[in-house]
Amino acid sequence: MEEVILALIFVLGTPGLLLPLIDYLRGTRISPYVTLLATALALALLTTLIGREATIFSGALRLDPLSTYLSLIATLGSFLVVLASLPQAKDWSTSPSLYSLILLSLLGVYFLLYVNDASVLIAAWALVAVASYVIVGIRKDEDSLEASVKYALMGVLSSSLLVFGVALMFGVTKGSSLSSLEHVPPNMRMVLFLGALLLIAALGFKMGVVPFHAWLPDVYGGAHPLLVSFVSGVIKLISIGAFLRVLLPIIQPIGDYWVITVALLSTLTMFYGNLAALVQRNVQRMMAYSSIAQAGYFLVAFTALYSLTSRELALQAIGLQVTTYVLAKVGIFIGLSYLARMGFDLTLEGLKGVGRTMKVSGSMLAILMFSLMGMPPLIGFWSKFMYVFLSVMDLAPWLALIGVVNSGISVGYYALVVRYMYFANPPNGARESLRDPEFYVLLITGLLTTVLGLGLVDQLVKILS
Amino acid sequence: MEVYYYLILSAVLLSIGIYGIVSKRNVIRMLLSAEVIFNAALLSLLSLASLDSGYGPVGGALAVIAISLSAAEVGVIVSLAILMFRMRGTLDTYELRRFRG
Repeated sequence: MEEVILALIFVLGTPGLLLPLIDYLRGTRISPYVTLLATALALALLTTLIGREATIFSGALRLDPLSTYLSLIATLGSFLVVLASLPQAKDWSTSPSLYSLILLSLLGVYFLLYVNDASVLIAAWALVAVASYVIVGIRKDEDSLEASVKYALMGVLSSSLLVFGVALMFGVTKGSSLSSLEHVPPNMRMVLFLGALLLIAALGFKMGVVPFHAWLPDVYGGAHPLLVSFVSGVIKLISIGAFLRVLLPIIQPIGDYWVITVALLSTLTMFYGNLAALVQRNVQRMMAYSSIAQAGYFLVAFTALYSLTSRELALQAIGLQVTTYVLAKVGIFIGLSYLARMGFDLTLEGLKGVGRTMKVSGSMLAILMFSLMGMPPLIGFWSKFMYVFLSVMDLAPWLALIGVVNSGISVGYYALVVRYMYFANPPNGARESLRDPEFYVLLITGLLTTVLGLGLVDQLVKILS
Repeated sequence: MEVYYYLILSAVLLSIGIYGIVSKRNVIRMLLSAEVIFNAALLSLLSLASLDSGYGPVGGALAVIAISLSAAEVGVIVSLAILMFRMRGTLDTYELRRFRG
């Protein structure tokens, strides 16, 4: 299995490092196609790892089915983003760097999902973080400058807190392997809890958990939607991966504090995200607040990891929720960038009648929003109601109730977007064309959301557990 | 037990850094506050590592890795600050909002 990981490093790392040079020397733009090929190859390589479990590179990385599944989803997300960027990034002077950074940060995401050692954790975190600041600001205009400065400042704070948390936790366990975390002397529990709090803060900054969310609406709402689709769909997986690898072993030693802390954060995050999204008029900002709310649903599943009886269900819930989240966020933000390219204003009024002129794209956008809302039979229904909320029923039924209430609130704004898209007269005659790659990205994400929800959930659960 | 003094110092530095990041608006000042937190983290990492002869070298290696990688982050943020100063003529993060529609 080490060969597969080495092949992944070669397939993604070599083009990642060489693309800007190749484009500069040849004077042509081949980087998008090379990137598409590399991500497709990585997808094929990862399928050979499905269901395998192993510790490799003398304990530095550990493979398990859930991490492989999450890496597959991340690769699929990057593939779709690169596909959609073909017509959009063509005119950007910095586009070869964009593709190079996408490949390198995807490699970092794999390492964070497979991490089993503190040094790999710090190194992969830095790789993804630095690449993501540059990706947000890659257009070098006023909007992306604001987004990038805020993202970078919050990011460097988050990295510092991560190092602090790692210092405290591994100072207690006296080893750098993440699997040594389970053996903690009982009198050191408070130090361990402090370290876990710092780590939750560091990962919460990346996920957009309230009260560490202040940067997120400006970044997701201000940067170019295509870049946001990568940052929110793929980069966000690093905090989920790190949560599973670093915090999962220490939940038992921490004890009840875990449930209280994470359930409280989850409640705050869900309510803040959903209520703030209700009053937005700009659809891109609204989707940014919806990302905050989705982070709250992830935290519900993280709370359920505490009890050993519901842990398996909670892990499956996280896998399925990631599927919903990545498909929907990548699809919606790419759809918004498509609409922006067709000359629509991304406010509610600006999207009037989109569903009537651009029939397929509009309906796919609506399907993705319904999936985030949790409407059956889409995948969002299964992941949210049948797995995430069910997993926490034994431990904290009130949290599941709060989650259901929040799903009700979220209908308010998702349905508002759909209403403006369909029940209003179209302002202009923009037509979708079969030659636009974004059209196919919307089609793939929308159809996957539907087909997976229609009966493939059991198969997905088999792959990821 | 003198390791506790180092841990207390590191907690104080953490508070100073968080105060700086919350109260300052200048990009460079915020970066410096984050760096104070980072150095507090290194201090506690190394002082905890010094307690155990087996973990000591590993902790030192972790610290060296973290220092070298944080240099990359600082480089990116400083270059963003330069870009911001060229485009706006200021380093104040609140000024960024003024041009919002």
